[in-house]
Amino acid sequence: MNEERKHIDNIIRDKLFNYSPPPPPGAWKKIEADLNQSKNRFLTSPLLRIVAVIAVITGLTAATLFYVNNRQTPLRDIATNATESPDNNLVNQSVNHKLTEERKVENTNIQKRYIKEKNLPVTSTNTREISFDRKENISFVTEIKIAEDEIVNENSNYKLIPNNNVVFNDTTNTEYIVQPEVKRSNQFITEDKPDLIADLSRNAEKFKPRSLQWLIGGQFGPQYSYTKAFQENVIRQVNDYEEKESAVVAYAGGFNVQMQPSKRFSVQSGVYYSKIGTSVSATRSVSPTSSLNLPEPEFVLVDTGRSPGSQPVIIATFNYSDNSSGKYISPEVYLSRQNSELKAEQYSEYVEIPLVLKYKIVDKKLDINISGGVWTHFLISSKTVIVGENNYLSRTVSDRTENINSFDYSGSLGLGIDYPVSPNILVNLNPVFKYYLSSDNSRSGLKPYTFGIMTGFSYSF
Amino acid sequence: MADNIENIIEGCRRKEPNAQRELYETFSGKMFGVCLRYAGSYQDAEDVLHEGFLKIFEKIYQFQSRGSFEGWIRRIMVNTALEKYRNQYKVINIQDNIKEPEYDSFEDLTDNITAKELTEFIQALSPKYRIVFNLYAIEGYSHKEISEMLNISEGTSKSNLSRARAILQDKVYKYYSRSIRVETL
Repeated sequence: MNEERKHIDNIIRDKLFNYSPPPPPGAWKKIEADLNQSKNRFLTSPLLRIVAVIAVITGLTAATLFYVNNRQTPLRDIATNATESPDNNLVNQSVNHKLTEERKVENTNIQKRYIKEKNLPVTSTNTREISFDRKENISFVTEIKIAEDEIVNENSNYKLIPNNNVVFNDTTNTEYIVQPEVKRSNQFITEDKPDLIADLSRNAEKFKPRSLQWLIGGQFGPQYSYTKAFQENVIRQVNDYEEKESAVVAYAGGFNVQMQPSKRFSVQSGVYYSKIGTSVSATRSVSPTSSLNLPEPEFVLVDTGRSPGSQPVIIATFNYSDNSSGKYISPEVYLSRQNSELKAEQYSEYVEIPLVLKYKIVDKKLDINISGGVWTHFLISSKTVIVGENNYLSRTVSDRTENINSFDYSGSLGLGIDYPVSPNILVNLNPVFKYYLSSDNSRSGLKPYTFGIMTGFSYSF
Repeated sequence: MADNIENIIEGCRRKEPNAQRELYETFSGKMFGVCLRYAGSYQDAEDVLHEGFLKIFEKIYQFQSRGSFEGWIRRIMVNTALEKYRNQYKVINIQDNIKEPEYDSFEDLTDNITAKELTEFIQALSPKYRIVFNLYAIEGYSHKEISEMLNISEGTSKSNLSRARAILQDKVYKYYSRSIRVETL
């Protein structure tokens, strides 16, 4: 009876296996239209659209804040217009000073700048108690009083930052840019002490824009990487593959240099190491795939596919005969039956060079910044590891994976927190999302993304 | 031919429209035959063919050129069809006692039946019978494999196959009987 059933099956199979009816008229045109649409499609995924919108909003916000911030503190203009005192030796004179600018500033930067200036030889002359007295009709006009007993008192509320004509109030976190006016008095400044106003006047003449601040640092952290088919049609098409592919957590880290031309804005670069990986079920894509007419296969291939590569990896030799039925079976079926837990893990290691712009949105004791930039990735190695329960299948395959692009670019968006633990050292926490701008696999067309939580420190000098 | 296929595949990997069209023209007939067997209607088969070819063009970079390309695209078509009917073949099957009809020679009966007619008989089966019959009888999967693929029990797979076979045999017999009657008249 069983033989007869098989016979019936074979009769039907012989008739139908190579049956080739004419395809529906117009079917190709529809496929062609979809292919063209797919090529031209951009930002069709809701997730990608959200990311794009966030990036645009972040960029616009950062640009606006940067612009507004600069408008509020025309430091260069103030300095240029500063009136030099006719007498550089302003001993025993009281002076009215135009407080040309008042602004709330972020503590950290000013502190850093102060600390920096404090180390200069002239520091002792510039750390003094200063009070302000505004008058009507003259906006930001005040009188600076200098008390002798507060000289070189680092606990003073007000500190002068000589090169920038700035005084800073630690208590109120307020920075004042002082423009000296020509009005003399003999009230506050003593003969035997260096004179603040003279100093201000001299500095006004030779005023220079705020000097660049440099920071160096390092970061390290776990990084989750994955390739996701953002486009809906691609998701549908590769759905059965994605079910068998999962992300793995790897690590990234490196050293960076940060240039800070203004308090809020900075440019960062450096050298980073990054490792991304994907775990793929070996049952996913094994070639040859025909369950019939198998061309005497001697080995099974694991195609790790889209991310990060499609290196065929020889993992074992098999006899494809099925003991129970005697039929030929497809290698993927054989493999799935024999080693359901078998997985292939692929890792790619990169050296990365970032160019990242950062902008502080909160500049307090705890800084919060947003960042965005471009990373260039240089591939240094790619490895495949076969992980299986069966010892004879478990092995590390260190072949270099084929079809991985030797370099790639990614765009990044990040949020960062900086906290000063000492005058010169900041610790930071920096979640970063990176989306590859091109595929890491020259044949897949799908782009990986990574999410890392980096922690580290920066040293300012 | 093999070289030509290789060229077509390479062209498709580069997403060249001419190569894509050539690949479609080469395999669309056979693949539509596959789709018709798995689908319940001509329209459904057309949908599967459409989705399947999009998937083939998208995933062609994964083909390693070491096995049968036709086998590879056939598997994609079958998977696409399975996806379409995923919710329909998971219906819990009641183990009905199916008694298969016995005929003298099934081969003789099917001699005069065209592939198109046989395909229509298969199409007329309910999805749970149709899918199992295709996977077992034509693609060559075992019941264990089918049970894993469709997430059903092996017993269900066997039962569905048996039922599908019986229905098909019956249809073929009736068709044959009709043909004899027409010839007699």
